[in-house]
Amino acid sequence: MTEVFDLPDLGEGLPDAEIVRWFVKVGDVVEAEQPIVEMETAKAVVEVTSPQSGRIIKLHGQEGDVIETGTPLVTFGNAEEFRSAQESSPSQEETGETESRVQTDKISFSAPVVALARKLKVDLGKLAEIKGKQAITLSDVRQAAEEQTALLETPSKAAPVENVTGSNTIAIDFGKGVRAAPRVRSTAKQSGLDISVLKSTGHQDNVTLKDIHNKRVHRPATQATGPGEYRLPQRTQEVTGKPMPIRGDRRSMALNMAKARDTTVNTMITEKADISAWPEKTDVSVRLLRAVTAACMVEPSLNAWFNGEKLERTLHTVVNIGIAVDSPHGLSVPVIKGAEKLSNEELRAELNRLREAVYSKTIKPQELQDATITLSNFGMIAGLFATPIVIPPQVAIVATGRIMEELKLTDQGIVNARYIPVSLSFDHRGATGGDAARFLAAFVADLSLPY
Amino acid sequence: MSSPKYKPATDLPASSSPIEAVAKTVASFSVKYVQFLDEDGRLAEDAPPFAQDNELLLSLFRVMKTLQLFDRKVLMLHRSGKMGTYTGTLGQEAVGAGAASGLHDSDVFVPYYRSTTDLYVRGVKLHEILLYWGGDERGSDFQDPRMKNDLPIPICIGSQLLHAAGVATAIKLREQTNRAVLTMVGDGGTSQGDFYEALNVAGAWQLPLVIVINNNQWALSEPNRKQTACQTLAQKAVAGGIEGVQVDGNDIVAVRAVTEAALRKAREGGGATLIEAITYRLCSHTTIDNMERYVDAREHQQAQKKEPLIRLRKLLQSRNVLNESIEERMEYEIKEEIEREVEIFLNTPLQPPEAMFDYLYAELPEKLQAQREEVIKREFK
Amino acid sequence: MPTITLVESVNMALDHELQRDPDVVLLGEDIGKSGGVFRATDGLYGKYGERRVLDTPLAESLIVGLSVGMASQAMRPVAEIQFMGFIFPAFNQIATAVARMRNRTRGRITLPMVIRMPYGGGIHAPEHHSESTEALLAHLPGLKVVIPSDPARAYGLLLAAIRDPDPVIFLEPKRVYRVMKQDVEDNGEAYPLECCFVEREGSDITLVSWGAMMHETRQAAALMEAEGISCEVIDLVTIAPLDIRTIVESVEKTGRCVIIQEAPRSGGIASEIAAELAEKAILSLLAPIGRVTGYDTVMPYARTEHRYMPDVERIVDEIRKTMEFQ
Repeated sequence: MTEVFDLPDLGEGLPDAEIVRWFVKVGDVVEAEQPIVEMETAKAVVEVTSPQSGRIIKLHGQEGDVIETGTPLVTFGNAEEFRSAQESSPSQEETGETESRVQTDKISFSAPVVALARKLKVDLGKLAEIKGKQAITLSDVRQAAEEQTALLETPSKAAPVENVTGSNTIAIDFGKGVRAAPRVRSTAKQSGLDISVLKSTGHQDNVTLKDIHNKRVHRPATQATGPGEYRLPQRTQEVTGKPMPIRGDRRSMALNMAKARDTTVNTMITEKADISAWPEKTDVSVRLLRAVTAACMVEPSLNAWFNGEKLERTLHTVVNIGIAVDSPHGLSVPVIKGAEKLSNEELRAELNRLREAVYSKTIKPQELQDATITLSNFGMIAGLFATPIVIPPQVAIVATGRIMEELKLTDQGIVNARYIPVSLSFDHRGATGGDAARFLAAFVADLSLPY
Repeated sequence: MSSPKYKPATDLPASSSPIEAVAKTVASFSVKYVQFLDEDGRLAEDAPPFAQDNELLLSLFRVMKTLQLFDRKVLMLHRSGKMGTYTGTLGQEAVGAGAASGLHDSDVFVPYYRSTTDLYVRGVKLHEILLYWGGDERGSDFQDPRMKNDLPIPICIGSQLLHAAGVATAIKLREQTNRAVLTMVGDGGTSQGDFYEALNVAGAWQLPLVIVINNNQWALSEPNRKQTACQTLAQKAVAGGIEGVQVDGNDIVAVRAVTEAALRKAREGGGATLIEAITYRLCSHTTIDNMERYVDAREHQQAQKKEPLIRLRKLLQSRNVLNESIEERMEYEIKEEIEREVEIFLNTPLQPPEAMFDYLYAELPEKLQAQREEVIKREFK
Repeated sequence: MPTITLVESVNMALDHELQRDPDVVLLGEDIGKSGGVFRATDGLYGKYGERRVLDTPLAESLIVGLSVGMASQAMRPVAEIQFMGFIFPAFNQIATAVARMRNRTRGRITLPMVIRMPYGGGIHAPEHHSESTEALLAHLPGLKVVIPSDPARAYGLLLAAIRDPDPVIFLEPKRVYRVMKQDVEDNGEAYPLECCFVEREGSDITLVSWGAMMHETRQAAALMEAEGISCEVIDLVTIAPLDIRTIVESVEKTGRCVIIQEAPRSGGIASEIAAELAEKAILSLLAPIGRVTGYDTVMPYARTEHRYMPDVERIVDEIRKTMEFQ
């Protein structure tokens, strides 16, 4: 039976040692602890002793050879093995790990220069061109950064990155390169949305929870890359093709709508509100809420409840505006109460609070009650006019569409005008056509004010 | 320590043990004590020539008096909330004044935290001392040009001894003859490992270094006898292979003479010296310590009689260069100086908020820029 | 250009600086005739003599304290602590003097000094010879902590450390002192200390490591590449102050990050990087930040230290876990 003695680590972490002198030769019989070879390590020359008694049938190197730690030094065996070992030709030892060398960079800048240039955003190619030389030093890079020459062009912020495809099998890069908080990513995933196609409105151009709920498609998920290569967009949520029960908000919507249709006399009137005078960054939602409130002041008949059984109507002293909010779980209508007492800032704050409460399902039942009129801004998604359904006992619902631009003929010539399309539905049992038209006139008049 | 429970191998009386019989003395040491001016103001006949220099002695008297008055003033400032913790030097003025007055401008001084007197002699302004202990780093940015290579006050006990050895190593490696290093340490500091490491290397490398121990008997509340079984602290020099000598630390003539000689020896390549100056801390450890908790009142009273100004005053009075009215005038001038310095300290505006970052590295690392901006923004919010 | 090991490149850098600057002085235990226990100063005593290569008494606090004094007089001491496990007697000096002198004196006294020491496990050494306690040092404001991972970087970074106006702790990964060779030109060019090195570009995941662990990290990156996972590999190089910007930018690109450190898990550099990424790159993360580290325990002795040391398999496992996160 042969036994191989591997070179032990002769220091602390020494990878190899060089054979200085063999004290034994093949065929020798040695005693345990007898010195067999003198080895030189990086630290010292040491004698290596035999770990056992026996006949040496192979020396795994000649004087001057370097033996790696943990690889064979000598082989022990019996006389027969000795003979057969003599017969077989000496085999070449496998070479160990190849030396790792610094990968020379493609454009032959030194590693520290590349590292510093990366940090300081210096384009080495440009810099070499400007300097007219290939050998760029660290101080060249520092100088360029200081003088702001040869800077790398910053990539456009949060440009959607194409998903890495190909041989990569285990990674699904869901929204890679798009900025979004972990909770936004997980919400998008649960809603089956690809966040890279959503419009991002966050402070760092990140996709927010609101963006998911608005589901405003920023660009098609799959773009046609050329003629004849059109592909349908991917489904944005899972579908099964089987009947599924509906629950929660969707269920109450179904019941309420049917009841509303059966009990009210839903009548619609439309108009366009010219908002060309608005300054930039006008808060659309707040202006809509304010216009509803103003119109309720001008025409209280639509800020009312109508009881068809008792044939009585209540003209309210307060304006409680129900806001139609579209969330992943369905339609929900939280109520801004006492809108007539709220400033623009308070309206915005209350709107944000209620929306967040709907998204996070923390809305309280009383916050969904006592609306005296309803506002739906479906134009946040798409659409111009609609047939909104009045929810009894309310008398009116105002619905606004997408802001549209049209050419308008004026005394000054043709100008570009911006409009909000308005659809007003009212229960004709509780209000006259005149009431509704006056309300609508007051509504668009308020909207067309610059402030 | 309890005695071992096992029986020793031999119970013969030590004197007649066989070991004793064959043992030979291979080395023996003694420790010298130096005093020139006794507590009654009598100067020894063989005092060094500078002891006849009345002008010099008067200036040293003035330094010690300044520090006594300054100590009192700082305590007042502390009690009125205008000053941070301060380590007084009352009773120990002769150690600092005597030692530091032997320095040449080209020498390097490495202070410790009770070095106010030595630093003052070296050129530090009292408002710098107040800034340092009052909580302002600028107190260690010594403005006197002679001190540009001197190290700042260290708080960690004994650490400065190795810095001093390092400065001495630099001087030696650069073959700068005629330069030496003086450093100070308290008796408590001699318990530190750094103290022994410094003595050891000072001997092994023959460094131009003088270490003065201000043995004021107290390491905060621990008396000397609890710190060491040694008869003297000077004998610790023996272990480092350097010269050790004890002086009367309340005798400014002796302190100055011995330190001057040791510095001269160091400059001339003669190696290091350890000087133990025996004195007494007549104040609490710091302004927030109360020594009445651990100091015996009678011992304290005895020590007060030996304090360094009394005997120097007697000598100078006997030579007719000092009397009550001269001393009164001196006191008036000193108080004026102290008031001036206190005003400078109190009127020094705070450092700008970014100062906490601006002296950390030669160049501010990128990672700290945001924190620096934040601290500025919060300040001016 | 000589093809040399990491320890030889340390020697070459020391040689270069001793030659270039008469204020550079080496000091430490057994660094003279013996050439240091790892032979990092081999031949330098013979070449420059006992006034430039100082064998000190066996006391670590002394070695660092002397260096403080020497550096305060504008010398450039390069101290060697024999093993990082012996740093603790000197820790007082490092924390209370080395890191603070410039700040304490408002810039009047500066300490252009280097403390070199071999660190890390995997060399079958006795207790205290195998730990990686870089975080203890990196936590001290006023210090720079630098760790090279290959011979070329060791040479360039050590030159930079010696020439730096501030104290630099230079940790040498002793496990890879001799496992690789590179062509390193003795050209006297110092590397920057303010940035980490992105040594391999990738798009799927960022791997951050330093010192000896770079060796395993590179191997893991190569294995993952074969599986179609593209790793961006960053050698941290300067542990403190951290160049977090380069890492953030990489993670913003890849969306994933695994940090590999030999030191125990808690309170280490990996934790600091993870915290910075959580603050600065959370909007780009596609998966939790992964860490492959030593365990929060006393490093086992030589016979079982391999169980403690992060290896290629652990790194690959963590990369897969991070890539598969949904």
